[in-house]
Amino acid sequence: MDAFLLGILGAMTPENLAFALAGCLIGTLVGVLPGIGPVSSVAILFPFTTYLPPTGMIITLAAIYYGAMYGGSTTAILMNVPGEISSVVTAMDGYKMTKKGRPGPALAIAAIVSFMAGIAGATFIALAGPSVARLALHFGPAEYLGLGLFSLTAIASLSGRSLLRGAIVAVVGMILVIVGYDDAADFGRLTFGNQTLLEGFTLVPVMIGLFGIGEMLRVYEEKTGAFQKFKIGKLMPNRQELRDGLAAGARATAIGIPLGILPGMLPSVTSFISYSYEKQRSKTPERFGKGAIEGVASAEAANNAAAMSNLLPLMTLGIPTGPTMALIMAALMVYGLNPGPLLFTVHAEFTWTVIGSFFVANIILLILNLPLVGLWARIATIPQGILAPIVLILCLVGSFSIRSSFFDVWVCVMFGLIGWALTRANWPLAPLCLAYVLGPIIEESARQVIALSPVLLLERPIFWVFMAMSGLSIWLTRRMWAKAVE
Amino acid sequence: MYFCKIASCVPLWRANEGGAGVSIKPIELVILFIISVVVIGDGIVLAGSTRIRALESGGYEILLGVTLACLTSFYWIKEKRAGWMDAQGGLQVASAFGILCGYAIVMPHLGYLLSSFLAVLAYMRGLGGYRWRMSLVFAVVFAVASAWLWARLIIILPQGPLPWPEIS
Repeated sequence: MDAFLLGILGAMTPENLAFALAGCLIGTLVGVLPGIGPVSSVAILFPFTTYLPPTGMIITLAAIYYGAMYGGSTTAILMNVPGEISSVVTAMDGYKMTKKGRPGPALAIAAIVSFMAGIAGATFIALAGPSVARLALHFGPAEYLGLGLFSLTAIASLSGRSLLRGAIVAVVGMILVIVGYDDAADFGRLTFGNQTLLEGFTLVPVMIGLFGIGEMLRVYEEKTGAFQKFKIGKLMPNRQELRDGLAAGARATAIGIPLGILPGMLPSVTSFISYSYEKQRSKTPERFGKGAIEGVASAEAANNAAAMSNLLPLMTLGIPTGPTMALIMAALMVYGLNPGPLLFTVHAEFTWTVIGSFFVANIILLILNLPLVGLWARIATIPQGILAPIVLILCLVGSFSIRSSFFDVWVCVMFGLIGWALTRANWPLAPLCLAYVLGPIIEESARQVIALSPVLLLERPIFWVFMAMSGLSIWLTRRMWAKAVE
Repeated sequence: MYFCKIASCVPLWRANEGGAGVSIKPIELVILFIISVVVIGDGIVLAGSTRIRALESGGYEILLGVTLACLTSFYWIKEKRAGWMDAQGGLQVASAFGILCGYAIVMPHLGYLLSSFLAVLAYMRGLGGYRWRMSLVFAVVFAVASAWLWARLIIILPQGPLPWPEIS
């Protein structure tokens, strides 16, 4: 409790407050721009945060992430332009409310339940984090191997239409990450004698390419039409709307937090699940998709709750559950902070300050964004013909600035093309990113297990629990997909 | 009961995902098989070398290559829905990508300021359909303002023939 309070105090220092405020503002600003979702926002802005101190960098990146999520829902509600996949669900009812002349209550309930879910998620991290970290201290290479394989299987099965495609993309990601110099063998792998390739493809240019450039190429491919005019009017929902929205938000938070811990359960997935659940339990399901405030509340609360609880496996086990978490992991590693149980012991002050900042950022978002909604809406109408070149140049400058290397610029450009092509061919991107982070963990753990003795695996029950969970996740998703096809 | 209800909602999410049911594009298979063969080949070379722990590193590579080849074979046999989106703005994408490559090529020689000016101008005039004057003004403003910002943030970029004064 003391550590938690100290964390809150740490987050309230003028410097950290400024980072959280700047992150929220920049995140929302970028998030409202059409075609740029939270992952792209974090990826594009990541290099520019490397100049900050470690705590400031993580606080800023997390605030950018939440801000971008909020920005995505604003444009989804006002213009039917979801900045990210999870906002697609918000747009279903939110935009209908706008068309009915009630965008204000939709925006207000989205902000209120997002805040509620964010605070609940941050509380969950603060309560569960130390216990999970203590458990993780007992993890050895066998457990990490099991956890890595489970995470990869789960994300491969959940992130797209087909498990097989998810698995293929994951393996391709694991192959791409081994390109370069291998310390163990003192030799280059997949470099074909090329000295430049020994540097390998580092995570950040890869992510900027896949999500930043890939998205912008899609913008050039699909030209968005003119935006409809809207008037925000009265912001606050009436008593009935508030009651219904808050109840739906609370239920969605309860769904989003536990689901968010699971690898592959990206905020977008949880918002779909929560929306479907809310529709199923409603006595008037026919209102959904026609402007039901519960629809907006359930989608927004679930996606924010999951976005927050996504951080728990990262901070306690060192396992990212999605692309944004992979970037936050990379940010921690920039400063030699290895995500995992040691964050709660060796770097406790840093960790609790970051957790404290989650609370602060959620409050900032609630206070700032409703009054600024008109401004965000105007920014969202910036023509893509002006926006896209700026973003593309930012992507390249960002990639270059990390190591002052033009090789990274070309990696970014090439992965932009790959990202565009994969999305166009309906292949999921998330397993590729996760494999990029999990690949080295799996390889290292497997090597250690082999070096110690493969028999070790038989003596480690947690490894088998993870293996069983991998099998279960494959079986469940296959079954669910078969049901969906029916 | 509560969990069963939640779990039953997952298929609804899956059903929301789009994608037409068309057959697999052969190019997907060709690329994946080529990658597997290259990875296996490189792994064999490494595993066969006399370096310490080369067998481990090479073996892992071979394992990945074989896994990819197996998964691709399954995909070839079983998967029947590729869901490629219809080609629409192919020329636009090719042009946008071409300008981006051009920008990456000229930046080390012309420097950030000039190359960014040219890239923004090309994007706005060539792809955005803006008039020359508007494109020129925006390109100049963006290049100068962003160069100033990077200098302030101490992000060192290639200077080219137009050196940018350092901001302390």
